[in-house]
Amino acid sequence: MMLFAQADQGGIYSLISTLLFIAFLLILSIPDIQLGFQMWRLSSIVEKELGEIKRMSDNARNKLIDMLKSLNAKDPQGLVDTLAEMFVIDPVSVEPTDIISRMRHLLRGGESKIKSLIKDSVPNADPVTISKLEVSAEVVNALNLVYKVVRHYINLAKKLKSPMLMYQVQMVIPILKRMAEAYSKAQDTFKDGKPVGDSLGPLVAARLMLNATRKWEPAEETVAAETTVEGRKVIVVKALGPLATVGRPGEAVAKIVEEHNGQIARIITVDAALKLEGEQTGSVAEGVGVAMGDPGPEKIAIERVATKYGIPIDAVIVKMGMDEAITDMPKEVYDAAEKAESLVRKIITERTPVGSSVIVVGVGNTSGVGQ
Amino acid sequence: MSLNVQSQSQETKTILKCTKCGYTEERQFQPGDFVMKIVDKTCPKDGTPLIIWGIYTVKQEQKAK
Repeated sequence: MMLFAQADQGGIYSLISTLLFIAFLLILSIPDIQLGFQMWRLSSIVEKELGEIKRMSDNARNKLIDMLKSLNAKDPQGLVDTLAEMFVIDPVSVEPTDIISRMRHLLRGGESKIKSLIKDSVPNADPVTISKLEVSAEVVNALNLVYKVVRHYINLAKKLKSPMLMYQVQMVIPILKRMAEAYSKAQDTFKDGKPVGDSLGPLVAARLMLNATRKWEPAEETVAAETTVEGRKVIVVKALGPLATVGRPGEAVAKIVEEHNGQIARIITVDAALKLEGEQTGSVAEGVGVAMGDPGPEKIAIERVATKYGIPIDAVIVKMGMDEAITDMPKEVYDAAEKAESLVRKIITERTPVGSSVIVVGVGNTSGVGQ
Repeated sequence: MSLNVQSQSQETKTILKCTKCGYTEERQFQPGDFVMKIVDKTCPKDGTPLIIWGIYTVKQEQKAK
C-alpha cells in the first residue's frame, strides 16, 4: 500500500514539475520578458567591462595627481579635473577653404592651453617634466572620453530598452578596452621617460645626427642637424628630445626647403606605422608620400612644399601594434631602427646625386630620445 | 590538480655604445637614461666616453604552476 502511495506522489510531483517547466517556457516566450532577459544579460556583460575602463581612468587620474603633488603643484585635483574634460572643437568643414590653417590654429591653441595650465600650476618644473605632464594629461583625457562615451551608450540603450544598441556596445567594447589598456600602460612609459615604439623615427634621426656639423631649432620643439652621407648634404629633422613631444616637423621642413630655394633632391620621412593583424612587429617597408600620423597641418606642409618644387618624397615605415606604438619600445622595433637607417642611407646614395641636399625627417614622439 | 597561470614580466635594457670602435654593452635601464646621453663610463678598448645607443623592453611570459 505504501509503495502505491509513493508511486502516486511521484507521479503528481512529475506532473507538477512538467507543468511548471511548460509555464516557464511560455513566460520566456513572451516578447517583453525575452527583451528584459536579453537586456539584463547584455548589460551585465558590458557593465563589467565599463567598470574595468573606469578603474583604468581613475588610476590614470590618481597617477597624474601624484605626479603633480610631488612637484608641489597648486590645486592638483582641480587641474586634473580641468585637463580630463578639455576638448578642441573641429573647424568648420563644409567650407574647406583654409581649413588646414584653421585646424593648425585650433590644435596649437589646445596644446598651448594645456601647457600654460600646467606651467601655471608647476612654474618651476623643467621642460622635460612639463612634457611628461602634458602626455599624462592627454592619457587622462583620452581614458575619460572612452569611459564617458561607453557609459553614454549603455545608459542610452537601457533608457530606450534597445538590445540592438546594447549588442553594438558589446561588439565594440573589447576593442575600446584594449585601447584603454594601451593608454593606461603608456602613462607609465612616458612618466619614466622611456622611448615608445613611436620613437622609432626620432631614434633613426638621432643616429644620423651623430656626427652633425651644426644643429639648430627651425620650429618650436623641433631640432635640425646638418651632416654628410657619401658626398650629399643631409639635413636631419626630429622633435627636440628627450622631451615627450612630436615637435613641428612639417613647419621645420617647409622652412628648410624655402631657405634652400627648393634645391632639395629628396625628402625622406621615417615613421612607425600600425601593422595589420598577422604582420610582423618590426618589419620595415618603403613607399612614397609623407609617413606621418598627424591630423593634417604638419603632413600637408611637407606635401605642399614638395609639390611646389617637385621634390620626391619617400616613406620608410616600421610596423607595430597600437599598444606597442605608445608603450615601451619592444626589442623588435629597436632592432628595426638599424634596418631603417640602412634603408635611408641606401635611398640617399642610390637616388640622389653627389653634391645634392637631402632632408630626412624622423617622425614621432621623441620621449627618451635625445640628439 | 595543477593551475596554469600565465603572466607577463618585463625588463627594460639600456644599450651603451662606443661610437669610435663600435663596442657595446647592456645594462638595466636607470631613471634619467635617454638615447644619445653620454654616460659616466668609458670604452674598455679605447677610453672613448660611451653613449646610450638604445633603450628597449623585453617581455617575458612566465608560466606558474
